[in-house]
Amino acid sequence: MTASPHALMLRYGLLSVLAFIVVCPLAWLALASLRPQAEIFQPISEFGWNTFIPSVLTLDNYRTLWEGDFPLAVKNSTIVALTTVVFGVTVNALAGFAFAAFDFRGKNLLFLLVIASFMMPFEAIVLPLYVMIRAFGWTNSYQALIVPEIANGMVIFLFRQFFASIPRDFYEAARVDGASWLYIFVRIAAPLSWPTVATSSLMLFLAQWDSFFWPIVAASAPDYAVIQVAIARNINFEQNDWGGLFASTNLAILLGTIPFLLMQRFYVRSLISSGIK
Amino acid sequence: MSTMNVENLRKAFGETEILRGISLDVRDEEFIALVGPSGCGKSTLLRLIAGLDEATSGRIAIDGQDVTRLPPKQRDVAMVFQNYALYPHLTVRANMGFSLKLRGAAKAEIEDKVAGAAAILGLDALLDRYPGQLSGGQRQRVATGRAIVRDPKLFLFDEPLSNLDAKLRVQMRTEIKALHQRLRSTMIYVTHDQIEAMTLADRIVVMQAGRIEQEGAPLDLYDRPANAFVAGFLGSPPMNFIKGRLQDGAVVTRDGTRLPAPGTRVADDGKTLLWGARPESIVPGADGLRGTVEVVEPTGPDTQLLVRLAGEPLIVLLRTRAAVRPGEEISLHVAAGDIHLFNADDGSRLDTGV
Repeated sequence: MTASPHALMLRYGLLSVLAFIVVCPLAWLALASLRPQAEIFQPISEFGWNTFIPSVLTLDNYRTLWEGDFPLAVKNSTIVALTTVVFGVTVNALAGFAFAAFDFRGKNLLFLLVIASFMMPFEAIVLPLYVMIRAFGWTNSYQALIVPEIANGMVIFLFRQFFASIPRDFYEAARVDGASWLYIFVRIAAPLSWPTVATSSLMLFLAQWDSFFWPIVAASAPDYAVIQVAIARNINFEQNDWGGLFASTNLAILLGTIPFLLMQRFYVRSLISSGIK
Repeated sequence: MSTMNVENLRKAFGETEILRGISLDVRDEEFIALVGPSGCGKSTLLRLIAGLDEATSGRIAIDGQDVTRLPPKQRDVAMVFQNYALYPHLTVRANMGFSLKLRGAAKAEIEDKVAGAAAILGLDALLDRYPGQLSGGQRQRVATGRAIVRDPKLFLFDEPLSNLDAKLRVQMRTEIKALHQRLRSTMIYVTHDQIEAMTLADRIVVMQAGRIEQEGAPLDLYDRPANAFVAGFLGSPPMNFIKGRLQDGAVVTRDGTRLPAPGTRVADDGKTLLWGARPESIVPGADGLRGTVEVVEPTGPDTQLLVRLAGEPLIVLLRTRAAVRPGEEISLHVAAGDIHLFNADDGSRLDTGV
């Protein structure tokens, strides 16, 4: 495909403007966290270079975070997110496999419920869920944060779609050879499903990393504060710690991209090697 | 080495009856071909024998033992699938050893058996490759190898060659035949390709609409088809059929042409019949049936003609290089023993006694 130089210039010009608009707030956020508290909002009124380039660079905001409760929140979020990924991928993959490989009574109705579960806003079930968690005596615990997030309709749906795309011959050949369904799942279906495992892990991880509403309802004690809750606590009735807010937001974003970068390798490789046909 | 018996087997999916009472006895070391048009139930029958689907009623026995309700793994059968079903994340070696590993066989034993099967099939050099790196014919061989290593009571083949191109199909057909002669195991082979069935099988079972139409040795079926369906299904190009009424020892067509009908006592005069003759049994001959040549197709060894006779198209296969041209008149002759007569209403064969 060839385009005239003018059309190319126009295209790249427009894309550059768009990119600037998208990146600008993030860049401002990153830089603001490196400014002294007093200077953060000062340059906004007089728009210019100073809006973006800080006059003084300081890590004070990060140092304060490090000394406070933020490391605990990072640890909590990491534990919660990773545990959810491990259990979530296992449980949802098994469920998706069952929907794809077996015929059983009420299968379509059940699958409809699975789909409905991710169409429904989470807020709709917060209250009954909270009542349940409290009845179990789980408030302010890791279970409260992890268990409700393990089963995920969207992830079940993704796995079902993948397992249904594996030729039935694979399952049947293994059955004739004497394999149990669990063996077929572990040795044949699961090893082929790397792309779905990578996608689902990311979805489950990010859902937990970004979750705010449920943690503040179910585990509001400081010991169980997760990263988004810790970020929000920079702003309260007594004070507005903007530096802390921006620094913690930056860290949350940076740490949140690590699993993506790790998974990306598998993601690309599995797309290449899964040539089923 | 074993036998297989099926008694009055039925299978229905909801309201739809796929198998309507199949009975079949397979002898030890026999090569059986199940053949029929798509949807006739041949693959379903194979899946029931393998245990992949459950029979609605009837009985399946392997080596005299009733296996009708047993899961696949307790039947000791091996199956080769149409799409080969080779696991893409395992090497050829691991694919072939899969069932043995599953059974908990010792590593040395697995190595040994895989090497043995690989030697038979000429796969030695490919053992460390992945299925994605193999050609169609090689994949087919690996799929067969996976069945061989198990040394099962029964080999089941579900259209194993239908994904190969024509040339390779002929080659693999010969290989499978050689394999059967070498292993002397009992094999059941499903195909829609009647040439495959004719060339491979000791006995052919022709199926249609969930029933067995006829079973027997390939040439017996070819020479004495039990009905018009079997007659039309076996043979390529297929048998020619012309409809007519029986009258004074001849089948009289709509336009009054008299086709010779041997054995005048086959039915009452006036009865509507199907007159059948195979393309290669129609030969040029003086004072015969007169037709007009419409198309001439030389293939090298043979010449195939499309002749218009009594208003019907007739395929004639000459074993010579005939010097005929489209538009010419031709006189054709069919020996009495090569003429087949069938009831027009139910297609059943009428014995001409010739």
